[in-house]
Amino acid sequence: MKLRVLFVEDDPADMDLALHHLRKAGLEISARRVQNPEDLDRQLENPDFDLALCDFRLPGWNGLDALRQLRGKAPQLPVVMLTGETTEEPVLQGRKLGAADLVHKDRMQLLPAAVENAVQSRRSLEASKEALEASEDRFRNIFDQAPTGIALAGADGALQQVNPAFCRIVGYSAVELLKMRWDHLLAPGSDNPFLTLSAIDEPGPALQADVQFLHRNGMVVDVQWNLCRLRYSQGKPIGHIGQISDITQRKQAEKKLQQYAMILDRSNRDLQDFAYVASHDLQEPLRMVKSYLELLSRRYQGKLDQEADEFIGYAVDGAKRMQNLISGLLAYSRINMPGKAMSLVDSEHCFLTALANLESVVRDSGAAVTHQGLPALTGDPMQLTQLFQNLLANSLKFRSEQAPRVHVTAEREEDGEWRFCVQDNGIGIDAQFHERVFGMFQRLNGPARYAGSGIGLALCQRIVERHGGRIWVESKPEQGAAFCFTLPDHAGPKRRQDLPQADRGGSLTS
Amino acid sequence: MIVEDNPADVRLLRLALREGPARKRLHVATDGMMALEFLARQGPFEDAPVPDLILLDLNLPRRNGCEVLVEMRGQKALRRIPAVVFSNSAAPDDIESAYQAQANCFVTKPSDLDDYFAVVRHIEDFWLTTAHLPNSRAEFLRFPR
Repeated sequence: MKLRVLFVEDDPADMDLALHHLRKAGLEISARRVQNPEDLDRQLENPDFDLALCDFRLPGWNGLDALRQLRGKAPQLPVVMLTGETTEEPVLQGRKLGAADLVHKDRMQLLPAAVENAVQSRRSLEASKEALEASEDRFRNIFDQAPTGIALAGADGALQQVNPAFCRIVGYSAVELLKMRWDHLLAPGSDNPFLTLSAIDEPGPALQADVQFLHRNGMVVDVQWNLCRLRYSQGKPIGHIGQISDITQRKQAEKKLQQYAMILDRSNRDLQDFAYVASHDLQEPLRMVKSYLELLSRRYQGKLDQEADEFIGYAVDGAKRMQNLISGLLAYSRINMPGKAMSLVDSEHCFLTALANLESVVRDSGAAVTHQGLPALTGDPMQLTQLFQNLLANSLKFRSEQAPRVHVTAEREEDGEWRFCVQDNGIGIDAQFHERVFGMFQRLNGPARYAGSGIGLALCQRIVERHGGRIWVESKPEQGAAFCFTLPDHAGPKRRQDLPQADRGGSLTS
Repeated sequence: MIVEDNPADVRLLRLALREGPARKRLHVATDGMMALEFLARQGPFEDAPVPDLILLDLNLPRRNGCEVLVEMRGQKALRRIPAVVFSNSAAPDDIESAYQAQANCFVTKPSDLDDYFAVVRHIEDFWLTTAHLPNSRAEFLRFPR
């Protein structure tokens, strides 16, 4: 590649000598020579040179002045000085003024290396400058195009640089923002994590906070604010970089969701209260109906005609069934009543209590009820007893021709849940009814064949669900049924003897 | 004395009580306010006797059973009259608040007629025969001076 060299030289012979050395070293050179300031000015108007070679000694002029002129007009042009002097002075001055190198005229053989060096270092400087510009450009692009607002701020929180997204979120122009501090943007009453950050004498990591900014139009904007401290290499804090995202919509959605949850919660509670109050208050008039019907039948049985006896009988029977339904409903609505605390209970004890409560039914039916491996776990002892009692009663009620056999087991699942099964040899349930049996007041058999309110299994489901488990039935008609339920074990496996005596289960009356 | 707003219940109670002094000297207040006026011998109850035992329903018009209890227990003259809460409810909350208001005991009205009769007679037997009552006719008769 041809080097374009500008000679500032009064003596053409010196220039030829220089060219001779350069070409001898294999450099291709095109040269131009100036010998006064005016010529130099003219040449530098179109600074198409790779290098200037400047003589120190110029008649009526001065090499150092020429150097000054070169540095002033074309600062990027490397200059190599040629000198005949032997003193150090010009060397130092030349260096000070920015000469790339200095070659003594007696040692011109060193010139090619000096020229090559000067050109090379200029080129690499330019290359790194270009790379720097490109990188700056890239980051400027990211800064400008980022969807999150980015701002640089000084140690006092004064904004120094903001991107368009930042301006968009807060509604101020960049010019306005550069006169503001972080805290000017905060809505009254909002947290100011900037203060927290200022109090920490560490660089990064980012502090994140949901705060409220005041938009220029006066509206409150919910923003997520990431703030981290910048630091000089000397370790002195210089400021902060903050990123903000507009989360107003997210906040609104969250608020709405919270409201829905509250409404749902309230309506659930209302419904529960309603069921409780209704069943509770219905008991009283019903008790009257039932009591007086019984009085009627007791006093006037056989004294009226046969039809009257029959009518009273139906009425008493209806009142009794309604009583069952209402007490079932009451029990059902009581399950989620507050104040029933979960504790560590022995499920075997609950099972045994339930079995004891059903003693007469078991005896009368000649049933064999066995159990195996019932663990201690977290639960409501009264409810677990009721759960066992309802399932056992169910198994005994829906018995087949054979003597009932019921086996209750518990196994620990991989996920730490306990899986209980109450297996019987009763009439079983057709698969199409497996879901329905757990519904309120659902009955698969007429009251003539099996008495019941249709609430027992609904109650079981509610108890299991309150404990965070699931209940289902595995069964085929005529082949018995297995009612299975899971109960999570929050406390982990416990040895039964670790249980406090008081928590070993509840006794259930009614 | 019975504090009960439901005439059917009052009738049932009368039926349940045996022929005897309790049945003859039975006083009925049909709401909480009336019960308090009776006990304080106000208005039409100027000549009302101090009852030996109060059978108190919880769910009453104007002043409920617990309010009557709290009011009674705040007055020196009425503090010691035994009060049995005789309620339709078996709810733990109701039982708790009745005892908090210093009921002497809480009995749920049984829904079965025979049970109901039996319970009323138990109450009658225990409170009016077995137990000593403060400053009552029974005590006076037992320990004449």
